[in-house]
Amino acid sequence: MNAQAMNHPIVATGLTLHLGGTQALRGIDWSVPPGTATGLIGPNGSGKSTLMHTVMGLLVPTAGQCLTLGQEAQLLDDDHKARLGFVDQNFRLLDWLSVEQQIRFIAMMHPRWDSTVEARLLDAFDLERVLQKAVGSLPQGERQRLAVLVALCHRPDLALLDEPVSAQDPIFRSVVLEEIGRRVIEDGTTLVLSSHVLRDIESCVDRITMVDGGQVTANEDLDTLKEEHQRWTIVGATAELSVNEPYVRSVERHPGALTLVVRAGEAERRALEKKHGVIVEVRPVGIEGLFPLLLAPPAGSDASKEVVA
Amino acid sequence: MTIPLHIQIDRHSGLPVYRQLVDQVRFQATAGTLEIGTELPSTRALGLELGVNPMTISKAYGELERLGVIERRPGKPNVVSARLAGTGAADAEDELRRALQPAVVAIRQLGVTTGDALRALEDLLESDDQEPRSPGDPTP
Repeated sequence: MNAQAMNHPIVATGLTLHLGGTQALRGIDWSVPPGTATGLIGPNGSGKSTLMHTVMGLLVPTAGQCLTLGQEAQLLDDDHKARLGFVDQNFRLLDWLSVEQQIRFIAMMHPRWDSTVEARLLDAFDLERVLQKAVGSLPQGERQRLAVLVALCHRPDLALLDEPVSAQDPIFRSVVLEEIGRRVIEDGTTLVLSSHVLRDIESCVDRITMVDGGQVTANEDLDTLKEEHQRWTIVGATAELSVNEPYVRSVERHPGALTLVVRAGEAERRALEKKHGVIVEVRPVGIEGLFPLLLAPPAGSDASKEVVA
Repeated sequence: MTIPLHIQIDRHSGLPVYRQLVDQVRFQATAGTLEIGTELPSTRALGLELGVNPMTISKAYGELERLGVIERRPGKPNVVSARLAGTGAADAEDELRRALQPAVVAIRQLGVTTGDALRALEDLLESDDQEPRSPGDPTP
């Protein structure tokens, strides 16, 4: 661990977890800088939820360790737990309580509970009119918003939200994300939110952690990723033209054109244009274009990055 | 007093968020819609308005300072730098070149000759002259 990572709210080293005969986490090294919102993405079943539960101390690693707010996750004391916020994928709540009782029950456990934030979220999430209803009777969307509300009103230092907008329609999705993002902007909360659809959460994250096959295959600043990658199109490229510079991340061959996604800039482009006597058109790479680059390369696939489109 | 900045952030764009901020503030400062000495919002205030992490705003302000577009003053709001006054013409040409870059890509892709492209640009400028836009509008 470097000195800089010491103050990171999450620092995992060699995190390994065997779960029901499978290796759910395979030696994860991961650290999350303070005050950032990280999108935890990856295919279904890749280990996102397991990783979150381990960070919360709800699962105990087989090997390695996770420091959560500087304390070993499975040994978190009450003071540290009070600084965490968590929304489970199934947004577990107490079904037999009324919405208001549920909120008061959780508020009671948190000395830092902020009634201004509570009032704000009740209004934004349209939950005021269901305060007297039983939690168990709520539709999934309202139930999920309630789970987000009770995870944020104590203004946690670190909030882990597992698929926090999966049950929301597009309108509430942006409302919920805006309120989640507000905690980062107002309080400097460190946020980790997972989704298997990056586009759903893109509006409020500034970092991306990709989990694939129980491993963290990328953990980067989103702006940096966008800045360093470009889509290059070489119009009029002949079938013989092949570009295998080390910065090429993927190749698509269209009739009469070659499209490359590269981690390169101006200097490399000029050199390539000179070398092959071609003109390269530069475009930014959208988030969907970046996604595949962050996945673990399939075993033994070093040979070819090329696909024929 | 800080004035609201007219910034549009597209989170789905392939352009980094901080880069979008830098480009738009620099354009408005060069075009004069942001006057010299204009006070800029704090990173937190602008962050709340745009839904962007204050650290990202701070990164953009840092880059704008490096480019000489704004001045950072400890404990006081950042302001649009006076340095722009001396370099106005060169900055305006830089902005124009950046704005025309997508047109260059289109011209190459369509295989249009330089002469035809310049004539098309002249036509567009002429027809635009007959319907002047409000001077503050930076985008077509």
